Amino acid sequence: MTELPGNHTAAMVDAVVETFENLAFMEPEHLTGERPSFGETAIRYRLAITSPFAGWIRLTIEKDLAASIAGTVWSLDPAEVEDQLCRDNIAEILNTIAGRFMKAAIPGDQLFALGLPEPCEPEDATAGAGATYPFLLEDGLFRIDLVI
Amino acid sequence: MKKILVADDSSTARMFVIRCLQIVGCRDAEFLPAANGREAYDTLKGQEVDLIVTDLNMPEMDGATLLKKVKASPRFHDIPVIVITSGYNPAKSEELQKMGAMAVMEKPVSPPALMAVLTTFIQPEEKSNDGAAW
Repeated sequence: MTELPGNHTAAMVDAVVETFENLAFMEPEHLTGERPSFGETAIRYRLAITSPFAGWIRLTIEKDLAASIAGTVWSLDPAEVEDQLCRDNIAEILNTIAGRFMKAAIPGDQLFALGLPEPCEPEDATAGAGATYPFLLEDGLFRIDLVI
Repeated sequence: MKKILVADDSSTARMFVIRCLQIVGCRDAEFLPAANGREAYDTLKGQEVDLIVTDLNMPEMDGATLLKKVKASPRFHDIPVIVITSGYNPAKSEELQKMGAMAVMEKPVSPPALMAVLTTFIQPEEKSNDGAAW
């Protein structure tokens, strides 16, 4: 198994905060010492890291919070956000977080490759996480897992 | 009216790019959305497109393949291509610019960053009196 990059926590927290600030104009707060769990209704997406090492970055988020974020991005009432739009928005957020994380975590002269965001099952979203990064946003929770 | 082809498999990303382009002055442009490189290339065949803004990582045909096809085509090779990617780093940027990309930008794009790129692309006579680009 590949070791986690030495700067992984700072790289991931920066990637998450910058992504939410730039894409959704929201400021998530990194929570330390917690590993929140989520119910069946949570939205779960994962994205493969395929090079220079193999792994996954996964995002788990409460459905109401996901709808609120999509509403902010699309200038819609969260109640009007359709499920597909909500999921598309979360997938794009994960995609952006993953890219920013990899950019910070590996040297600038080294190429990296990522897969496409895809929905995953609850058990996939919790098994074997190498590192977990929980966040608070608008009184809701989401979590990023890095597995390498 | 200028036509801008925006290729990304995410409707959120396409909306975000179009919104940024409108903010920096492309208010009157017609935006042609495509969900992957194949759709984008098919759209090119039926339209006179002035600018392509494409994501890199897409299903069916990715942005690098689209860029390669566009630059290899006698009909399309003059169309400027901006690549927007979450997987941005200096090495990737250099590789894509060698392939013919006019610019490589990191997701999510911002209006100032897009403005900086478009300023080099849009000729002064194409700007209207109120400063809008298109």
